Amino acid sequence: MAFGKLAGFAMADGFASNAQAKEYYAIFPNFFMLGSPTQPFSHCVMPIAPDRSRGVVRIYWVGEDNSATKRFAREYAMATALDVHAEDRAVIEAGQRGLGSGALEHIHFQTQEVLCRHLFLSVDQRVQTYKNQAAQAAQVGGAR
Amino acid sequence: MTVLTSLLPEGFDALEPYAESWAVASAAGRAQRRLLSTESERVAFYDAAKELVQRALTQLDQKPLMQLDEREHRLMNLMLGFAHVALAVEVQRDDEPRHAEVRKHMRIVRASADIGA
Repeated sequence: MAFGKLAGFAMADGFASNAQAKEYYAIFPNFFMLGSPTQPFSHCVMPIAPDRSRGVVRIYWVGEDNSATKRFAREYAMATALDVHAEDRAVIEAGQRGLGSGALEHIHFQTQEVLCRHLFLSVDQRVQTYKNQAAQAAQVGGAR
Repeated sequence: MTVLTSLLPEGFDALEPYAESWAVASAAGRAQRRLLSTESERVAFYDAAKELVQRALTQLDQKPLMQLDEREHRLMNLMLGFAHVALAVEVQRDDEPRHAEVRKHMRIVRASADIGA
C-alpha cells in the first residue's frame, strides 16, 4: 500500500518519467547514487579501519511532507531502505569475517560484477603504488 | 465520576491500547521501539491497526499536518509506528530477531517526518 502511494507521489513530482529514473552512479572511490523514482538515495562509504567502514545513506524527496499519506509513505520507504541495507550489512560482515580469518584467500568477481572488480583493482593499484613508493623511500633513506 | 480521556480521535478506539507505547515522536524512536518490541507486541498492534490505516490516513489528510491537534498528531505517529511494524510482520517475519541484531547498529539520524513534528 505504502509503495503504491509513493509511486503516485513520484509520478506527480515528475520522477517516474524522468530520464534519470533508475540510473545508478558510482563515483570512485566511495560515493554511490541511485535514481530510484520512489526513493532516490545516495550512499557514501567511509573506511574507519582496515576491516571496518561506515556508510551514510541519504534519501531525497521533492518538497516537504504535505499530507499524512505522503508522510506515511515516506516513513515506510525510509524504513524499508534501512531494512534492505541491514540485510546487506549482514552479508558484508560475513564476507569480512571470512577474509579476516584467512579462510577466504581469493575474491572471485564474476563477469557481470564490473563495478566491484573496477573498485577493487583501482584500490589495489593505488595500494601497490603506495607500497612501492614507501619501499623506494626506505631504500633512499637507508643509503644515506 | 470517572472521566475517560481518549488519546486518539473518535473512531479509533481499537487502537487506544497501543497509543501510549507505539505513537513515538521521532523516526529514530519508532525504529528503536520496533527493535525493542516482542513478537507478540508487534503482531497485536499490527492486527489491530492494519484495517484502520487507510481510514486514519484519509481522515488525517483532511488537514495540513501543522494543523493536526494533539490526538490527531498522536494518531499520525501511531500510523508511522505501524509502517515500521508492518515491515517486521509482513516482510521479515521469523527473521525479525536475527535482522534486528544487524539493524541495531544502523541509526536513523533524521527523517522527513521529524521536520516540524
